[in-house]
Amino acid sequence: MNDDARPSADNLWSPYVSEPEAPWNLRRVVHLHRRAGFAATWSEIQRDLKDGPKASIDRLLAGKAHTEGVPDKFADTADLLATTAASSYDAGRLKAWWVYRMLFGPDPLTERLVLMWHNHFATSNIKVEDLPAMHRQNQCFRALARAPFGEVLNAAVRDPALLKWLDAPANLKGHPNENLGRELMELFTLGIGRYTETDVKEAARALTGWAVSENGAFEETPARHDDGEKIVLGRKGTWKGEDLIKILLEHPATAERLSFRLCEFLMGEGSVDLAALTELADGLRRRNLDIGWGVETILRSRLFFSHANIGMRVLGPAEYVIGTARALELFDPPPSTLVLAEWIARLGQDLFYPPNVGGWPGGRSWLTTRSLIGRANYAALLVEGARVGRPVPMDSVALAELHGVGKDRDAVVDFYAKLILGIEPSAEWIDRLVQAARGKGGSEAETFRNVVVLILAMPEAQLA
Amino acid sequence: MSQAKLEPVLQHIRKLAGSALTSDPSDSQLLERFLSTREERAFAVLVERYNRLVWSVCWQVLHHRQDAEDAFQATFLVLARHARTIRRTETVAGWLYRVARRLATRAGMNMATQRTHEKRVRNRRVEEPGSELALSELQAVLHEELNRLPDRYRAPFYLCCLEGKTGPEAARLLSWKEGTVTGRLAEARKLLRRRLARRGFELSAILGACAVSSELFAGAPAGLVKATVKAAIAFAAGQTAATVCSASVAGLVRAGLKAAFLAKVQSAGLLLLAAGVLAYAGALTHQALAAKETPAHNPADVASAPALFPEEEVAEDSGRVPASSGKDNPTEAITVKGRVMGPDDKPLAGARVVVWTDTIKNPSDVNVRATTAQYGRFSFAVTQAELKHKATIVAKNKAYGPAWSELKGINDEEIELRLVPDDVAINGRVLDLEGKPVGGATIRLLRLQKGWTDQWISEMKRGGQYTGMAYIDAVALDGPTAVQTKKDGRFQLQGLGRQRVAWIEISGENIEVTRCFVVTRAAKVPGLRGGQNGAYTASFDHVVGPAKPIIGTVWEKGTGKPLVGITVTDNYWTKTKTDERGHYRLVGIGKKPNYIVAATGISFFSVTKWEVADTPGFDPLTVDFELKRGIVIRGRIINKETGEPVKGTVEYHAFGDNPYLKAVSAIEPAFFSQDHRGYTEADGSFFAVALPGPGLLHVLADQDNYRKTEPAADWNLLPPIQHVSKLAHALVRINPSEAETEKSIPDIALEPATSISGTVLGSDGQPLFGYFAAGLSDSPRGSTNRYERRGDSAFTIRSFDAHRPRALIFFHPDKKIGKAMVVRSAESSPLRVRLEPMSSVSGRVIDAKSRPSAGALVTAHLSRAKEDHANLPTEVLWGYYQQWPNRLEPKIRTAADGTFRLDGLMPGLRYTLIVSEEEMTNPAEALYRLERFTPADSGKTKDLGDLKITDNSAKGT
Repeated sequence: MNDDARPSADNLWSPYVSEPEAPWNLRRVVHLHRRAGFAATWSEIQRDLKDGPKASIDRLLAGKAHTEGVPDKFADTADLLATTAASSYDAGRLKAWWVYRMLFGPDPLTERLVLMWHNHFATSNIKVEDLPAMHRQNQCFRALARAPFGEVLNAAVRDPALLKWLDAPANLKGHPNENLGRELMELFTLGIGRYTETDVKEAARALTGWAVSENGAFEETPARHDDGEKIVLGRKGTWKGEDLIKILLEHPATAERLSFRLCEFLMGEGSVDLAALTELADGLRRRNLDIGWGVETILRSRLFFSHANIGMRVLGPAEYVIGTARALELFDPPPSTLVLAEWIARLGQDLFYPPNVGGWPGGRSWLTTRSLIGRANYAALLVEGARVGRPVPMDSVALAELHGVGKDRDAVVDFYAKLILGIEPSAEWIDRLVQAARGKGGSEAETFRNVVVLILAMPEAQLA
Repeated sequence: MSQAKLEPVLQHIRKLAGSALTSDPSDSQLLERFLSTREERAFAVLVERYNRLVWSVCWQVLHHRQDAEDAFQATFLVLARHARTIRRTETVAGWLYRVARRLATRAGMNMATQRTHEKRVRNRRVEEPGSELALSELQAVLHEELNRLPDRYRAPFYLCCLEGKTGPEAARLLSWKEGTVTGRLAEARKLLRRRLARRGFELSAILGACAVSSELFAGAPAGLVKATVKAAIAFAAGQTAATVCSASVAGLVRAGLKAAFLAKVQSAGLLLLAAGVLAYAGALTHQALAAKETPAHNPADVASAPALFPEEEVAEDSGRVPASSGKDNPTEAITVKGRVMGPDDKPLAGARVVVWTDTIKNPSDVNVRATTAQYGRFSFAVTQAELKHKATIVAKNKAYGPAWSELKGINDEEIELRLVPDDVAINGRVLDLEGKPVGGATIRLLRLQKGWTDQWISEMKRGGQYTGMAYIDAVALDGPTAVQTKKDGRFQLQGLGRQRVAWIEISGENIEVTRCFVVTRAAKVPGLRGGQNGAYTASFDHVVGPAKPIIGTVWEKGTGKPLVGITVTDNYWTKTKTDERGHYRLVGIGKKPNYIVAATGISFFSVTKWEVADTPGFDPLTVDFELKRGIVIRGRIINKETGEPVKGTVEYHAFGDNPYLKAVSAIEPAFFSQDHRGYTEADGSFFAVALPGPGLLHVLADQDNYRKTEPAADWNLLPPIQHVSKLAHALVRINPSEAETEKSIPDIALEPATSISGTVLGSDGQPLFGYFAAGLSDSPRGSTNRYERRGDSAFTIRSFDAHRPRALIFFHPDKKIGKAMVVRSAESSPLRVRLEPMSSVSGRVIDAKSRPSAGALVTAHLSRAKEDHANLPTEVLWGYYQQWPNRLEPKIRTAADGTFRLDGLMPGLRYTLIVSEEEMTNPAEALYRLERFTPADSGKTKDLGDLKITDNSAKGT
């Protein structure tokens, strides 16, 4: 195992600094953007290579990592699209709006965190059937993306979409419905095995009276609340919903679950051990479960930039679909956001429609024979243009030329290998790729488009 | 060991193990057991489980006990024999629904051809009292729409909404995940709601109406269920139908098995054969089977039999008069005079005055009738013909916005038109879903409205509609009424004037066609929703989605010839016609998960495909059609007294025993078509498309100003026409022959009816505006009884008939005043109706231990007991628009001490008070009911004291 894979136990999350064994290079810049955002354009990569890790991560945390493709008045346009989508009765429009934010927005890290919270508090419109409510929940995740978890949790469990999803309005004094109480413990805070069935029943009692008003807002009706004594996780009292949340936030298991969630979000498979998870959980607990601290700690760590962490995480459909369009700078004219959302759904991640309360399983489950073929098809159609709503095919050579690479065959292929995979390809690798691309016949322009598609279809392109 | 020997052992083991059957196995488990072991108990559970489903469908279609029993039994016999044909993708519930409906329809057709038909029809009438007719219409509508739903939606809807099963219960029965049930149920509700709304019904109202019909959902008699199980088991074991059941049931079973066979053949992939070959072969197969099994329905037999009905018989109330020019001469000129004022209230010279009628579709047909002279005066002649078509005088001047006034009868009064300042231009920007400006899009002004703009905005914000606005079409205006967006997506429309409401259309290459309102008001209005059918103030950004092209070919059913000039549409804003090869390309439909595509052409039965699934990306979606040719029936509707043409609709229905019904998959309502079929033209003429054989034209005038008629008691009201509205302005029977391609019938003359006028006054005795009124018409036409605020204190009760006293309700929700009354005589005209403060009811809800019950939902429902029907206007009674019940049935939750006070009860009506935990979908959920109580007098409160609720907590456990 490489030395930098396991930092010393007393400081497992120590900051990364560029050093000969782990230099700040193209690979690490590409890794940062693909892992924490939606890939970077060539100029953004070059910018960060030059500025170094601290400035690059600062920019990411400040919500300014994307500088290319971001339109003037992005926020106003996004709000307009959201308002129209939420009142359109067409979920496709709301998905397209979110895709718009991911593709054109300046702040990829926040959008990725919104995806994370959407998965953590998985709520599906299939039952909620209320696009304005789904939109408000999404905005709430965005506003609190890096807030202390107490704020996130308090807002999320009072969110009308989630309350409808988990049948909270049916949780009445004398007729408890355990859905919200159970998921609050199992999925949102403690994790399975850290509570008993009695705790679930008592939690449901504490949450009685929480509902959604006729105008779609959270409401707490004292008359429907069970104000009797409850014992939750060994603590006795006439607990209300807010007391229950406080108890759960204070429980050590919540920090551990958050630590797991953040590492699942930002770290690769097998690159974090129990000791690192525990240390991160301790840190979170000491800092009021500050998600912002957790995210920053991970992103700045040696562990994050360690060799063992690079290329070890399967890209989710949204990350793959958006990241591909971004890296190729397909901003003007852009592909249809409606179609991109359609592709994300086809590849297994139907936004606003997670499969169940547990969200998407993620990881290797994203990759099936069907989804791998789907990803390759998506890449081919994206480059071809017309069927994703772009009037013209992508000009692969022009993009390389734009960035000063020239028209030379090897240089163009080298450019895309660096841009997409963050690798320095060998001459043999380039030869084999071009041969495969030419095998499909067609003009030189088509051959170069084929090169891009072949790179995007490679196993390495599915990982970050 | 043979399966038969194993069976007792298996049963024993199941019983010992607590029996899987007692733990509610899924339908597929039951079917599997029945198929593998012929386990009688498994089949019996299925019959018990779907007893009510099958019975309700049979009863609904037949309304005759013996026939319903035959169809019921036949359905389960077919299931027993053909259980294996239920596809993996189909549910047992859906399969049973489909088969039961088909067999019941078949049973009805068989019955009609029997010579004992008249006697049985009489019996049926006895079984269905007249007062229940409207209810059965609602149920028929619901079942029709249910039948058109895909199985995956129908099954969960039936189980959850009609059978009262919970989501988890339905999921278990269907072997689906709960989420799947929830999702599909939601989708089913959405689809039904949309489809029913198109027909003027509210889903919730229909469900409410069905819930009160205990007969319908009571289930089959116990003896029949037992006999059916026994017969089905024997039939499945190989006995013939004739030996296990009656001859009539056996006939139905044969028909059912034939259909199952054809379904199997189709699913085997034969559809992939060349279309022409298949059509030919399919027709042969179908005819051969039909000839073998249902000789009575051979067209040749029927053609030689005496016709059941005399041709073109006109219903009792609508006499026939020859085509006549009437009393008025349509070309006779009448002088109108008036003056045009500027916005400053000064007379305006040089303004142009034109007359617009709703028959004018081109700007070039709008002629300047006068240019105002000194003092702004004008005078010119209009014809009687113009007056009958919404003749509207429009005054225009380049410096100001237009003014207009509809001529509603000519008198000596001067018409004054006041132009408005033109200082608020419409400045819009069109963006796509990527936030990019859309250049080159066309913005077309369609219509301009004026009136109580504040009220209009307020209703738009509430998602309602205010139709008290006066409008003119864009053709009446000067200058370009269509502009194109620039590269930056921006456009401007000027010259419309201040405080007007413009109805515009936005279209362009590769974008969806959208329509929206724009109020020429500078200030933004919070809460106004834009987008498709939405509304904006003068400066706005409008987002449009990308369009998905739909292409296809239309052939003639039977011949396979491509059809030219067929209209294909999304039933919304886009349409096109087929070319000489029968091909079409529909553009401007926004990309979405599902599409509606309809094809229609004169002399063809329309076909609507309701749920065409999207395909990825923007490649054109292919949707082909086969249309069946019919006979074009032409006629004219006129006023019996004046001979003038009447505007209205004519709906064709085939009688249930029409043998040609087999040739069409469905007869769609005329309004689905885009070719004006069923709608009268300016001269009262119309055309309808009919099958050969007995049929009916159902005539309804737009204005409810004519006497009504009802289907005669001895008419053969079999499916699919039993839902013909109880009330029509004329019902005309036809019986064209197969040889005809087109047929003219004599004029249909409608007899004018009495109307009663009146004025609504507030509690202060002053004329009242902004109130709601129900009962002004009892026409089934939705437009006559809409739920909308009225901007005029004067009202008219139309088509009054002293034999049918008219219940009316007036109320003003903001002022909390109202009046319910029944008008019995036309002599009281004109009426002066003074609205009074509504009354209240109070009380305290306590539980079984007399403790106050906090947070309980208390609702006052209007009593719909039979004895109260006469006091409720039709639209309130049957909830054509759910807003009526919503507004008139107040609800509130009890306070911490269990007390409540409900305001807004209408004195003079009776209510049922219900206490429940939540909004109820099932009457059994009520914790307390107080039937038919009378509210206090106007402005007073009735105290009901303590209401002790039952303990409902055990119900869910």
